[in-house]
Amino acid sequence: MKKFIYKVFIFAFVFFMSVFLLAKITSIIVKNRHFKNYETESNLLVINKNKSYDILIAGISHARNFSRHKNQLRVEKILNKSTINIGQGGGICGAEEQYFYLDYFYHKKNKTKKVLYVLSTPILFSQSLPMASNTFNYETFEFDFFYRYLFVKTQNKGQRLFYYVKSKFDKKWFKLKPAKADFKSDSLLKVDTVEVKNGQKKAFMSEKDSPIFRENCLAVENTIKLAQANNSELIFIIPPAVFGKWIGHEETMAFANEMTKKYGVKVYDFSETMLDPKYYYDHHHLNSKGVSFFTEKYLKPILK
Amino acid sequence: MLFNTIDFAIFLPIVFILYWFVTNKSLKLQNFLIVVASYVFYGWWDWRFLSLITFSSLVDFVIGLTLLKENNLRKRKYLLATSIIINLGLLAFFKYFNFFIDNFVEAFSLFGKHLNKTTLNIILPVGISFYTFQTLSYGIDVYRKKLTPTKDIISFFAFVSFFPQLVAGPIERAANLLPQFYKKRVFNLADASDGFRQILWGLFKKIVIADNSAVFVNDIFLNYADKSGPELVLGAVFFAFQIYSDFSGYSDIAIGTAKLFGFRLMQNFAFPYFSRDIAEFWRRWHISLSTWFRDYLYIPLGGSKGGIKMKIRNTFAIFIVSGFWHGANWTFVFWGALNAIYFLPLLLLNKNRKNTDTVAQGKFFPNIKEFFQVLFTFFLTTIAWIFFRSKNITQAFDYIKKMFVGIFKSPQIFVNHSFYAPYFNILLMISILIIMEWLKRDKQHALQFDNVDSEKRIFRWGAYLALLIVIFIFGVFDKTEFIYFAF
Repeated sequence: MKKFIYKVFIFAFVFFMSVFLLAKITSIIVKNRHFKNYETESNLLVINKNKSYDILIAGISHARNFSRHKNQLRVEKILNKSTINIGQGGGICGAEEQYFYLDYFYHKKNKTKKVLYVLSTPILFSQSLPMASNTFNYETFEFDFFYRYLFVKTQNKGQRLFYYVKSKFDKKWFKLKPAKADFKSDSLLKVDTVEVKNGQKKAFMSEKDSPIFRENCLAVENTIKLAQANNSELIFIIPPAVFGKWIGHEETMAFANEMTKKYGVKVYDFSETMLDPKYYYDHHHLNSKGVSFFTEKYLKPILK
Repeated sequence: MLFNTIDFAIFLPIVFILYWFVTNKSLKLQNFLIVVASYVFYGWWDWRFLSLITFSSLVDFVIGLTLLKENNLRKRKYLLATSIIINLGLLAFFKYFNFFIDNFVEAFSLFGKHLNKTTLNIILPVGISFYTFQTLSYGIDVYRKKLTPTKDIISFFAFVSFFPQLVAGPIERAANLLPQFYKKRVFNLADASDGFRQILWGLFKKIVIADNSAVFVNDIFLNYADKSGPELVLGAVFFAFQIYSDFSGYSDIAIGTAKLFGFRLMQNFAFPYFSRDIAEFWRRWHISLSTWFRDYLYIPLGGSKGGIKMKIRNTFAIFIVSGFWHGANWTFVFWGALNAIYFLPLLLLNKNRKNTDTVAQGKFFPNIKEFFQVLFTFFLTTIAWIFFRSKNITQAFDYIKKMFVGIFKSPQIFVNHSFYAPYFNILLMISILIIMEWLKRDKQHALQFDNVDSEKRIFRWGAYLALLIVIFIFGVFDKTEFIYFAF
């Protein structure tokens, strides 16, 4: 009996080590393609060790938009500051995982003066973001990342870790190359009210007092604590949308204001500042022109 | 709970440790643990249906004991009839109620009578066809005095609900499984290791072959009208491997898991795609069900004795009932009838027991004749599977017609290597399956070793490791159910 259990343990150990080793090898191959922050949606491909930045941008797709399509170069030029963007678009990452990315960023002894937290309303309400199992599918396999995440209290952790490792053997991973898009020029021609309504419905699957809302708020609050513990100033911005305010905007602002009282966090509500469709490629994502305009007009004054 | 989930990966070691380290001092306690574990295993899916298994088990336990004391033949018959009516009644209600209502209404509409259709939203309890047949066989065997009924209620409940084979078989006979609950189990390293290997092989078949084939099969069968002939051929072949790998994979995991607990379950699949004729195929496919029907339906009906008419009637009866057992749809009935048509010539010409050994026994390769016999049997089976997989019989005929017309229209596609490109991975995996199973076709499963040579341990472990890595890399892990759960 003991021999059997011993054999099973040894086998399991050898199996896990082999898988981790192979995942690491494929990660090294992909990492050697030298990605820049604006050329990828992956964070581990760009988070290095002992680096200092002026601004770290966090959040969901509205945050990531500040680096996509080489927007990061434009933002850095306008602000005259160095940035790193760890926002995650594509509906794969919620507030808890944003916290974890920031935690890992500090764990690697990196520094940032400010954390610009793009507080899109869906990050507090969405049921699907915390449940996504493909959050880390485009991240390189790093054992310390895997190990640290094992002890994080979060939803759907097992699936997320499983697919984190498994995705390192996927064709898509092997084919991952730096994105070449220079400029997002598409413009929204008109506001489609039906689509806006449906889109908002999709994004808001939980009520303001639901456990999901509370958990997401807690994760964002923990992010503030983490940033402050690492001497970074965290600033909330509510991003603009062509339709102005999202459903749940009031609750989002109430939460943000509460954080101001508790932690002195600055909050800037830009939701209704840019209602012209020409600045968007869909109803709530800025195109490159929109990003430049927004950075120049609204971010620059607050990030001086 | 599904075998291919993380839930089961946690559940199994917990039960294993409790079984061998905590309850090992008492046989009763071990059996009780099996009952509890089995009910948790089943309740994981839907706890409400535990009452159904409990009820079914209680009925047959009580009837068994009553039969023991009763010598009056008429009363014994009543008792047996009660058991059959209750068991088949539950099965009929949960599985066939809506089917009968639909067909009843349609039949009346043919005569111009339009009845209001009242179907019920009935959930099919997982595994009901399997454990019902298991309890039925117990009642019948006790009635026939082939089996002494048990007085040990825990053993009986453990026999009915034994979690490795509860939801998709093998359908165990009480005569084989029940006595194993009376004997003290001793851990056997060789058996446990073999069980572990069999689980590994079962997972490969289910997660890699069946679930990857399913992706293509679902697409091809859903959009068959837009597919080319060669694509339809691949769809049919992939389904043949999907259903085999899904079901035999489940059986391998079930048998392997039982071995970890010191139990021996019957072999359910004996490499059926290496059969040289349909009769041999049916001796190798879903053996526990085929032999069940043989013993409790075919032989009582007269079997192959008697005249030609009787042989034909009995053959059709067993195959059609077997088809209907698979599901409440005419496609299954047609599939059964088609297999009867395949089988009959062999039976009538007295050639149904021509191939009782293993193909190419003692040789590495089959001879040309054997090779074409195996290929032809696979062809016949695959054609029958099209009916099994299709939504209705019309679709199946349409599929077959399109497939053959398409092949003759554009046979050159078969030699175009780019045609196979999207299917490269699954074809590679199926090739591994065929090679491994061919090499072990005289064994119980593809990873069975008679003499485990310690000198070659490093190579064996390397092979297991490679297989597990293949499962991890190529496997589909989105909690896909086993096809036979629906039966």
